[in-house]
Amino acid sequence: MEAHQAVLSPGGSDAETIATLGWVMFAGGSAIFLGVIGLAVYAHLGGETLRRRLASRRLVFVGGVLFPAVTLTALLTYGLILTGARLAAPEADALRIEVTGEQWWWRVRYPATGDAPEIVTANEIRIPIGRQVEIRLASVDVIHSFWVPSLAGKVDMIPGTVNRIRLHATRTGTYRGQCAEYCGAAHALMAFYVVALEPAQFEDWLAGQRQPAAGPLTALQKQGEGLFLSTGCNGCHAIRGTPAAGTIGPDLTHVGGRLSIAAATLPNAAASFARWIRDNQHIKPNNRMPAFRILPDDQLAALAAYLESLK
Amino acid sequence: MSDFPNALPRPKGELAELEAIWKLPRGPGVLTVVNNTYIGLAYVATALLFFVLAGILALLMRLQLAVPDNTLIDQGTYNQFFTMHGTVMMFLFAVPVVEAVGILLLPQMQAARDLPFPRLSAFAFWAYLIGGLFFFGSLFFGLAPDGGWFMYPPLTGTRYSPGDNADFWLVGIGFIEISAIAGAIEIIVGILRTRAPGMTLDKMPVFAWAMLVFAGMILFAFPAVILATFLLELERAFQWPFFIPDKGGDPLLWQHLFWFFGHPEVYIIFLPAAGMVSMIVPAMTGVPLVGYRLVVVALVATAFFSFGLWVHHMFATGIPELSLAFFSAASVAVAVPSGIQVFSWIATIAAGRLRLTVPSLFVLGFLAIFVIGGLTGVMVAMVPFDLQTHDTYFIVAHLHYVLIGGMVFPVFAAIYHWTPILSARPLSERLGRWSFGLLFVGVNVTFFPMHIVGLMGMPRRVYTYPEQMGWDWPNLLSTAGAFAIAAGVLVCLVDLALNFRFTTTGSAGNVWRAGTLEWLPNEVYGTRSIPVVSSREPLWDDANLAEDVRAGRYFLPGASTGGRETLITSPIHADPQYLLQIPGPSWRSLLAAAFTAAFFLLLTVKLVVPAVACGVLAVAMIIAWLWQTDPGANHPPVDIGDDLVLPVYVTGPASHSWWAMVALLLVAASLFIALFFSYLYNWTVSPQVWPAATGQRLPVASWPAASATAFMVGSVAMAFSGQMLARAREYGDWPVRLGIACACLALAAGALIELQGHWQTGLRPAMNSYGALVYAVIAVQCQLVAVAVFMGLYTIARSAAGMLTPVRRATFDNTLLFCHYTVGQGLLGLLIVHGFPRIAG
Amino acid sequence: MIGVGPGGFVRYLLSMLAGPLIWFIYFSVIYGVVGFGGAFGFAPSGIRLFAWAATLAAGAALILLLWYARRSRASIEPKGPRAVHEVAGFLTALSLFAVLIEALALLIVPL
Repeated sequence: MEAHQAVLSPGGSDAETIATLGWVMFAGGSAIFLGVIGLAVYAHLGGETLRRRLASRRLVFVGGVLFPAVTLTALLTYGLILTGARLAAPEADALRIEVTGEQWWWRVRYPATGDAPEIVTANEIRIPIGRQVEIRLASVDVIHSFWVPSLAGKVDMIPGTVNRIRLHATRTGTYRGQCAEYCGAAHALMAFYVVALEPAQFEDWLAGQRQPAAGPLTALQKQGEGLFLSTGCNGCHAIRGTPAAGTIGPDLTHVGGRLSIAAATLPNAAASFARWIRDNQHIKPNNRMPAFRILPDDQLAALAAYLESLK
Repeated sequence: MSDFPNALPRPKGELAELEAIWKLPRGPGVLTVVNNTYIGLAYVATALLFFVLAGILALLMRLQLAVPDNTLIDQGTYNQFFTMHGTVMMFLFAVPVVEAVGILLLPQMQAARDLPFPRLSAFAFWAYLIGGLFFFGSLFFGLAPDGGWFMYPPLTGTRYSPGDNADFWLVGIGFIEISAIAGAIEIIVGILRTRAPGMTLDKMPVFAWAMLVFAGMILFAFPAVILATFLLELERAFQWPFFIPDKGGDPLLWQHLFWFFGHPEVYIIFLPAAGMVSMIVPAMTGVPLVGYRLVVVALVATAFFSFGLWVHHMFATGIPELSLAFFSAASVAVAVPSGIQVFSWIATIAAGRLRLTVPSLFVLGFLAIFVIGGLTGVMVAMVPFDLQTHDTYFIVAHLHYVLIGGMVFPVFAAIYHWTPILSARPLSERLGRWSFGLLFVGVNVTFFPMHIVGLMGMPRRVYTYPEQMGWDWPNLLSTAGAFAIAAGVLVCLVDLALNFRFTTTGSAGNVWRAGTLEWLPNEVYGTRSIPVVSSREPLWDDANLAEDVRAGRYFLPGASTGGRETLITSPIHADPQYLLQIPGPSWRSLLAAAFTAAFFLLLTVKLVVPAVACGVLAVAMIIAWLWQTDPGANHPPVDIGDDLVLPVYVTGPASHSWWAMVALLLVAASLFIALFFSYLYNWTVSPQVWPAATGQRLPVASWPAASATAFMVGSVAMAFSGQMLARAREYGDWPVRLGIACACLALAAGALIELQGHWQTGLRPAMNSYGALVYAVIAVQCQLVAVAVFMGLYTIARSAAGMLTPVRRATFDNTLLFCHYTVGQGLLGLLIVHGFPRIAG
Repeated sequence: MIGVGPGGFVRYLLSMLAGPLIWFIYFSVIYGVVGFGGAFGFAPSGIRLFAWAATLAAGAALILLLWYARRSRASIEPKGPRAVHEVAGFLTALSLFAVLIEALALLIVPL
C-alpha cells in the first residue's frame, strides 16, 4: 500500500507551504555554507592582497553581524507571516473531528451533527479533499503528538489540555501519520492512516460508518461473534449493534474496513487478527491488550473471520 | 635587566621547598591529591570514559536501526539506551569535560599555582566519578531510566513509570548537577581572583572569558532543572501534584523548567569549546585573534540570548502563536554572535599562516560541521518548519551537527593541542590525521542522511521502523558512518595510549610556539614565579619570559608562608591583593564525596537506613574538611618581590570566600525565581485549585506576620552578633555566640510557624497543585534554614574552639551572608504565598 | 590595594551588561504579559499596547545607552575603561537588534 509520510511530498496546503519554506531555506543555507567554506579556503590559500583584506575586523563585522542581521531579518519576516497565518478563524463548513492519543493507539470521534449520530473509530481518519478539517487533540494518559507530515506540521496531545490542528488535503490519497512525542514502551508502533477522499466518496463512507455493524453471515463468523461476547473481548471493545460496549480499547464496529490493525502495525487481514489476538505481546510488547494464548486455532479463526467481516 | 620583582640568584633550597610542598602524595594517599593538574586530568579522563560508554550505546542503537523490523534489541532496552545515551552524553560527558578542561588549564593560563578551592574541585570530581559510575551501572540491572533524557511527565510520573528507573535519573542527575555547580563556583572565583598581575579582563585569554560565561550560565540555568527534578521527585515519592492535570498541575510546567535549563545548556557546552578554538587558531596561525573584543561580545551576548530560547523546544505544544513568535525571533538573534565568532576565526586564518597540524584540522572540521548545524538551527527556529521537523531525525541530525561539530571536534582539537603541556611527548601527527579523517567522514556519513530520513517522516526515539517506509538506505548509511566515528575515536585513544606520558617535570612544552601563559614551563607547583602580564600574548611579546619565569625572577618564586599558596588579584585589573593559603591533599573531601554519593544512591533504591548512615558520615566529613579552612592571619604579611608586601589573610568583600558565597546565593536565588515562576504558571493554568475558587481557608494574617517577625529577628541577631564580634576584645565571645544561637532559633521558628500556619488550615500538599506549591515554597525555605542553622552551630563551635576572632572571621561572614539571604528569601516567600491568593485569587 | 572592593566590580559588570540586561528584562516582560496577561484578565488589545510600550521603552533605553557608550568612549582615557565601553557598546547594539526583531514579531503575528 502506498502511503505518504514525507515532509517534502505534500498532499495538503499546510504541508505545501512548509515544503516551500523548506526549499527556500535549503537553497539559501547551501549558498551560505558554500560561501563561508569558500571564504575559509581563501583565507588559507588565497593571494596575499586578498588575504590581507580578509584579515580585518571589517570582515568580522560585515560577515558576522551585518550579513546575518539582514538575511535573518528577511527569513524571520517570512517565517512570522506563515506563523501568523495559522491564526485565521476556522472556515464555517470545516469538518470537526476529535482524536485522543492513548498508549499506543488513536481514538477517533466524528461528533454528532444534527440528527446524524456520533461515530467512534480508531487509528484511521478519513477526510474529504478541498475542505478544511479541524481536529481537536487530547490525551488520556501521557503526551503524544499528532503528525501527518504530508498534510501538516505536528501538534502535541497533552493531558489536561485540548489542542487543535487543521488539515486541508488537496490531493486524494493515503497518508501515514505517526506519534512524534516519545510516549513510552511501544511509541515506535503508534501510527495511523489518514485517507483523503473525494467529497462524495467521503459522504458515502461517513454514511456507512454511521450504520451499526452488519450481522455475521457465515457460520464461522457467527461462531466468532459468540466468542467475542463470551471470551471477554467485549469488556474492552465496543461493536455497535451488538451488546459489546467496552470503551477501554478501540471501537471495532467497522474494523474490517480499516487499512490496518493495532495502530498501523499489521495490515488488515484475517490472518493478522488471529496473530494479533494470540501473539500481540510479541508483535507490540507492553500494549494494554492481554495475549489470548489459550484460544485454540479454530476459535481464533472464527474470531478473525468475524472481525474481518465487520466492513 | 634589574627591574624584575625578584633578584637572582634565588636562595638555595627555595625550589626544593616548593617542590616538596606541592608534590604528589605517596601510596594510597595518591587518591587524596588536589592539585588542579591531577584532578583536571582525571576529570577529563573520566569524561572521556563516559563519552566512550555512551558512544557504545549509540553503536548498539545504530545496529538495531541498520535494517527495518530488526529484532536485535527489544523496545524496552532500546528505550533505556536512548535515554542513557542522551543523559550520559549531556550530563556526564559534555558539561564535565569542558569543566574539566577548565580546571586543568585555567590556573596555567592565568599563571596561578592552583584554583582557590582545590578540595572543592576534588570533591566535585569524586562525586561525579562515583555518582556517574553508579548511574551508568543501573543499565546492567535493567534499572536505567527509560523516559528520555528530557524525562517529560506524566510519562515519568509513578502512574506510567512505577519502577525505580526514573528515580535514578532524578536523584542521580540532580546530584551530578550539584557537583557541576560546585565546579562552576570554583571556576568563577578562580577566573576573577587568581589571574596573574596585570592580566586585566581585557587581556584575559578568550578561553578564560568563555569559561567565565560558561560558569555564570550554570549558576542561572542549572537551578531550574534542579528544581524540576526536586518537584518531580516530590510528586513521585509523596504525590505532590505539580504536573498532574487532574489536580491542577500541568505537564508543561516541567517542559518550561527543563528547557529553561536545557537550551542554555547547549551554549553552556558550546561556548567553552568555541573558547578553545579561539585559543588554538591564533596559536596555529601565529597571530593574535582578529576581533578579540567582538568575540568577547559574542560570548556574552550568546549567554544572554540563550535564556530567551527555551520555548523553541515547545513549538508544538499549543502555546499561543505570538509567544512562539517571540522565541522564534530570539532564536534568530542568537545566530548573530555565532556568526561573529566564525568570521573572527576566518579573519585570523587570513591574517597569519595556518599550519595544518592535527588541532588545525579538527578546527577546520569543526567550522564546516558547526556551520551546517547552525544553518539547520536557523531553519528550525522558523515555527512552521519546526512543526514538521520537531522530534524527527532532522533534529537528531541538527543537534549532532551542533554538538559534535560545536563541541566534540574542539575537544579533540584541544586534546591534540594541549597534550604537550602535560605529556613528555606530543601526540602523533600521523595517528591524529587518521583520527580526524575517520571522525570527519564518519560524522557526515552518519548524520547527514538523518536530515533526509527526518524529512522522509522518521520520528525520533523509535526502536524500529517498517520496511515499506523507504527509510532503510539512509539508516544503513548512518550505521556505517557510526562505525567510522567509533574507529576515529579508537585511533585517538590508541594515540593517547602510545604517546601520552604524563609528567610534571619535563613536558614537551611549547611545541606550537603559542603565546599564552599555559605554555610557560609548568611544574607540579605551576610556574616557578608568577609573571606580570602586559599583553594578551605575553610569550610572543617577551622572548625571555619563559626563562625569567623559570629562573624565579617574577613574583612569588618560593613558598613564602611555607605552605601551598597562590596570588589573589583584583577582579578587573588584576592588581595583587593578598596571598591565599590553599589546602593540600586530604581524605576528608574524598570521603565526603563518597558518602554524599552513597547517600543519594542508597536513597534512590530506598535503602533508607544505610542512606541515612552515609548522610551522617558525609556531613561529618564535610565538617572535618571545613574545620581546616579559614586559617586566619597565621603568618605575617609576606614580600612577594618588588617590595610588594601582601597579607596572607583577608576577610569581607575582598576575600575569595566571600565571592564564592555570593555565587552560591545567586544559585539559590535563581532556584527561588524558578519556583515562583512555577507557582505563577500553575495558577494561570489551573486557577480552579487556588483558594479563591476552592474556598480553601488562608492562614490569618497573624501567622505570616509572626513568621516574618521571627525571620527579621534572625537577621537582627546575626547583625548584632557581627557587631559584637568586632568588639570581642571588650565584651568577650559570649555575645557573639548568643547572637548566632538566637538567630538560629529565630530562623527555625520562622520556618516552623509558616509550616504550622498552613497545616492548621487543613491544607495538605497532596490535595492539589496549589497545596503542593505552597508546601514546596516552605520546603525550599526549610532547606535553607536547615543549612543556615547548621552553619550557625558550626560558627558557634568555631568560636568555642577559639577559631573566631575579630580578625579571623571569614567563617562568620559567610554565615552572616547566608542568614541574611535566607531571611530575604523567607520574606519574599511569605509575600508570595500569602499575598498572591489575597490579590489575584 | 585591598580597597578595590566588589562595588567597583559590580559597577563594571553592570555598565558592561546593561544592554543585554535591558533586553532580558524586556523579553521577560513581553513574554510574561502575553503568556500570563490573559489569566490576569487583561484584554488582548491591552496586552498588545503594553507589549508595544515595553518595546518602545526598551528600544529608547538601548539607544540612549548606545549614545552614552559612544560619548564615554570618545572622552575617557585610553587603556582599561575604553575596553569596557567598546564591549558595552557592541553588546548594546546587539541587544537593540534583538529588541527590533522582537518588534517584528509583535508587528506581524496577531495575538
